[in-house]
Amino acid sequence: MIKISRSSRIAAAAFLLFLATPYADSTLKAQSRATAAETPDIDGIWFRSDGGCTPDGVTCPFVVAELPLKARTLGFREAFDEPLAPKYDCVPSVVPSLVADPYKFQIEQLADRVVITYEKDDVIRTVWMEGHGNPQPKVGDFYQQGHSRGWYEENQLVVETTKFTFDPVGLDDMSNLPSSTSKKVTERYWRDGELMTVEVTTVDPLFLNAPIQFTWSFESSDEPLYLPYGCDPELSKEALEFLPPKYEDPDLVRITVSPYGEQPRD
Amino acid sequence: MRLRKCTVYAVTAVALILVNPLNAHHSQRPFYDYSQWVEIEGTVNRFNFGNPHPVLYLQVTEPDGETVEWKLLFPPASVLMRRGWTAEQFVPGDIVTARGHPSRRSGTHGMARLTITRSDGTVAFGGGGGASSEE
Repeated sequence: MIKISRSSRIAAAAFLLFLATPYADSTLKAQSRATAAETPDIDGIWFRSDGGCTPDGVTCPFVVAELPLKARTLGFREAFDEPLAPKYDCVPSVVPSLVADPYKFQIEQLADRVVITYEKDDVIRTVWMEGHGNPQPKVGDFYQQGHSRGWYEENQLVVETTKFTFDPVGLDDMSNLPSSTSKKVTERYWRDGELMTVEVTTVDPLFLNAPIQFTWSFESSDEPLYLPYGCDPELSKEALEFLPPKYEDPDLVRITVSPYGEQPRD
Repeated sequence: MRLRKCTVYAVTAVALILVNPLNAHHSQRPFYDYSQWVEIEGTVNRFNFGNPHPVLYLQVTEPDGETVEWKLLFPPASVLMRRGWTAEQFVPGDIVTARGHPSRRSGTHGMARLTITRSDGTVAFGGGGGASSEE
């Protein structure tokens, strides 16, 4: 049996305490940052009584012509064909569009995280609150819904989401505007009496010349979410046959992007 | 006072259902010609009640005697379930009349902003000129 002297045990304990000190310190700092007085009560189910973004010949929440889009963004949109949108394969939308969808969503404020559940497409976002030792993405980690971290300040919940995968409609899925892995979305939630207001700011240096922003208010709801949404790919694609083709010969697109280097037909 | 507030909410909710399109899956105008109206009568083949759009498959006999299948798309099932809809809202063999805007692509048989009336005259969906039923 190996014997360890008392002085060695004390030294080992001191060393372990030394190692743990930075974590304990950051936890305390983070907790003091979110005092009860600074934490808005936004726990519950929310919806927009005016329906939110609804397609009737207008774009929403953004007016495309007013957005500071880079030339490559406009070029991408010009070339993009509607049937290529991931939504027709039941791929969920992402922020900022997700916030604007006319469906209910639920916010659950837990100690170490905030969980946002959307009725649309069964999306569940976890916002990892600072100061709780939550997991951090590594270099090269990218997620369809990105990685969200959050904190409370001045009676607002601040959610910062990065690490998105490239998304062909990730800036606006109604207007087919793309987003890159450099996209960062900052959401600020606060109570405004009976309403909850959300300010959504998006930056993406690859596709935007400047940040874009919208602010919406939501009402609370006593109705539960209707889950699961269970998007059906067969139903999702049904309307596509009604859309006149953008390209004269849709096969041309497929041949153009062939990995075998085939050329478009004359 | 409480009753009055509830009444206001209820009236507002009904009004919103009537005037607002109810789906953000995609914009409708590229798919349907809003300058045209069509009306058809047909027999229900099947009703697929799901998200993002329930679809009613309707067998219709054209004026030239040819039989074609029309596909009528509805707002999301999650929205319709709040109105009490189920997968049995339409059953095979039901005879209905549908009015709405036709699909744009030639040779296809789709319709949007629907008003659907059953053979006994009851309105099964929409009404008000179809404005209530935009998908």
